[in-house]
Amino acid sequence: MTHIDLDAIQRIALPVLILLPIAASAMVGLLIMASSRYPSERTATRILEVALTISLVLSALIAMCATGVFGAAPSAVVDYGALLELGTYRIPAVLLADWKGVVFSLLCAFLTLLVARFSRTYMHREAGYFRFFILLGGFATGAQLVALAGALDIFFAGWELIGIGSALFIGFFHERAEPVRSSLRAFATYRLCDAGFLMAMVCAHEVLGSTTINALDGSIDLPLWESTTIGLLFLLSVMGKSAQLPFSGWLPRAMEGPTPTSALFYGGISLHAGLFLMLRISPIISASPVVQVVGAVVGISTAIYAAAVARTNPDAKGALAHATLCQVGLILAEISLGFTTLALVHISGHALLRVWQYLRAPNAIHDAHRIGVHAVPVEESQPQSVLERRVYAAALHRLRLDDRIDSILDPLMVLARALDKFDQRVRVLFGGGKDVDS
Amino acid sequence: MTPESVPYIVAALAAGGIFAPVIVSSAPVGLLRIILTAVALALSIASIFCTTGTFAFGMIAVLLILRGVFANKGTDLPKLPCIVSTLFAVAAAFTGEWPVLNLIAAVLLLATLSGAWPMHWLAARVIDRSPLAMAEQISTCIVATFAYLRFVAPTEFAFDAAATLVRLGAVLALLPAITALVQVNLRGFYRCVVAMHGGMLIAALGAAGHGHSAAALLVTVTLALAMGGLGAMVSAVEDRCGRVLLKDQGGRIWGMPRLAAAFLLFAASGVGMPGTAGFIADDLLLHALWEESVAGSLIMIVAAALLAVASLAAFAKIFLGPPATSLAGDLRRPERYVVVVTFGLLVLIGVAPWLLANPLAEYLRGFGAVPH
Repeated sequence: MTHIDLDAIQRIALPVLILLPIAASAMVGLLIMASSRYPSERTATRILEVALTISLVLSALIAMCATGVFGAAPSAVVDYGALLELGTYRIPAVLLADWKGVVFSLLCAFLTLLVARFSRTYMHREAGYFRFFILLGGFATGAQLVALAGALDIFFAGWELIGIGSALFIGFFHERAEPVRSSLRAFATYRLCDAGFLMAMVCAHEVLGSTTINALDGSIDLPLWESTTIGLLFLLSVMGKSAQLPFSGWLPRAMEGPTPTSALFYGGISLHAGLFLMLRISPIISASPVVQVVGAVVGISTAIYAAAVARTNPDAKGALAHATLCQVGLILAEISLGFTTLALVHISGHALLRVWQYLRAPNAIHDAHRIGVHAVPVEESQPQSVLERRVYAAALHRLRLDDRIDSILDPLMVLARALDKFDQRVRVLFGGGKDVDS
Repeated sequence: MTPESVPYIVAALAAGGIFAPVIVSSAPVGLLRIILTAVALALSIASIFCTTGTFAFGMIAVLLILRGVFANKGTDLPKLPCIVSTLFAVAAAFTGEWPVLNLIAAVLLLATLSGAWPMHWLAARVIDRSPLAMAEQISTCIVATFAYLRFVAPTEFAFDAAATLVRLGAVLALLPAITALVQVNLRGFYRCVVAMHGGMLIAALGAAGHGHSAAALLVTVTLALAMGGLGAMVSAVEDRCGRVLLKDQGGRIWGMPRLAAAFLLFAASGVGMPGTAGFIADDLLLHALWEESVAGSLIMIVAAALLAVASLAAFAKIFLGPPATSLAGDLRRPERYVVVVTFGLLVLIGVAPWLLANPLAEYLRGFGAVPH
């Protein structure tokens, strides 16, 4: 096979593997919208599984091309022109199939298909079965966009799809009030932290002249304050998505979602997507010592916090979530200190292990009996010294992170109520839109 | 797409915005309503193809006069908003010689139509009468923005006023986004969402003064399609359940899953969901705003984030929760068609924005627009 052929194959395969899952979701959605009856579970699942399988096969093909299995590797940058080009402003339609992207793409495609297959049985006859698979397709496309984006605008599109999917999955069992509240909290954290991503993206465009990932290599020539600002803004977004301190409060609440999606999002891909962003912006990180230090401090602090909380958590999924968070914190520190290859290996191995653990979590008690694990006697597990007791209490209450963030946001709600009251008065004064219910 | 095709695209979008409320209306559509809709379409098209500002805004004024005359009869619109917006349209038509007055009149016209603060009390009257009427009114924004981009934005004064309008628009977007967090009924929420987009439109009009016309048009199209669609869904919910309070969880998704999905999709498009026109509009607008005012850009980012949270919270309260006892049905077939077509258009512009944006820049150059 010639080099040109590989380029052409890659050029066609990349958009197909990214867009096929969401196209399958749209197809199921249209079937539901167009007909008066719902399609069968089997039809919906087949459509999604075929799309995810093709996506995985194409991802593997791209990985083989990139590693030179078929001869000389094609160019990693695949340029489709511009999504929009207006004078100096350009939204580039560029994909990047370099080794980092290919590894993460393969990981995402494999785990998504695995979870889809697992969920076919797990979610059988569950209310919201179709919703589950439609959202899964959207998530798969989001994850592939993150993995293979060659421009920050495209990366952000995938990033947002993952965030929306995560929030909707957390609130999946919405007949109870708690999952809905948790979903809102997670979504609010994502969106507020994503403000950092948007600002960083616009800044990067202004100072580097482009939003392509490769253009970030030029950040080494930027003044220190510019690279530091952009790096810190990106880091803010990563802290939200990867539940780093002080935004870790939403993670245990996210366990309200179905177990397969907990596995996929918080064991496999979503938490690690923040770390993948760190890998993508590594030129900016290496250009700014401040970002390196802040990233390492945040990562290590989160790891210590999560390790303590995991030991006091009374439920299996909560403990698992904090165990995952501990490793995610360590990986963040690795990337901040420049160990990017190690971090990618760590991400891959960790994601595979955690997905397996999450999927096994509902069987934890059964497994414990089978293996012969016995609970530690209460008197042995009690903290002894004053310091131990304090750490134990702090870990048990998860440092009251949610309360602290709520108290920071309280003035905003006070302002909102005051503004609304003023607005009502104005409207009543002019006779428009009287709020009879308020 | 060629530059010559731009007016046709705009006309098609405006026509869709004018006809969609008629199609989804649950009330019987009388002959008067059909005639009014046809005349509104004719006047909109005439405005789009006019070659002078006087005629373009004049046609919009005639359209608004017509709505005012038949307000409360053939349409669900109340009289006062029609009268006020007509006055601004007339002022925009006859102040072409005085750029300052022309800009103020045109911006006030668009603020009134889009429900931006502080003109939102007029939009509140419309929304209080019928959210569907607001959806219809928003479609006129496309025509008015197109006239603004051709005849007002290329002036020197618009160039000078760009930064001020951007800052003003950003603040006008932030205030309703904050108040959206504490709304206690669906119409109040819809009013805030529309007002936030109205603020975005004002900021985009400012940026258009420096040549960012594509941002302005994409923001308007998103406003018309996403907010028009959301208005139709608000109307659909109220047709079935009466006035909706945002206090406890409504649990309506069990009885009307398609309506819930459509509501969520339109609300998400409005706050920049990837793959829809809203995402491109937000992206383009932020870059445009950054050039005029960094603070304005930051405020807009925060406003969009707050509105997204408020939208999900409102969705949760309206639709999620334990199953509600209700005999109300899901979306009817005509409503479903409108949802599919409107959302399809949002997706089409979201994945292929060049279809609209690229020829627009070329087209506007013929009207003396500042090159970007």
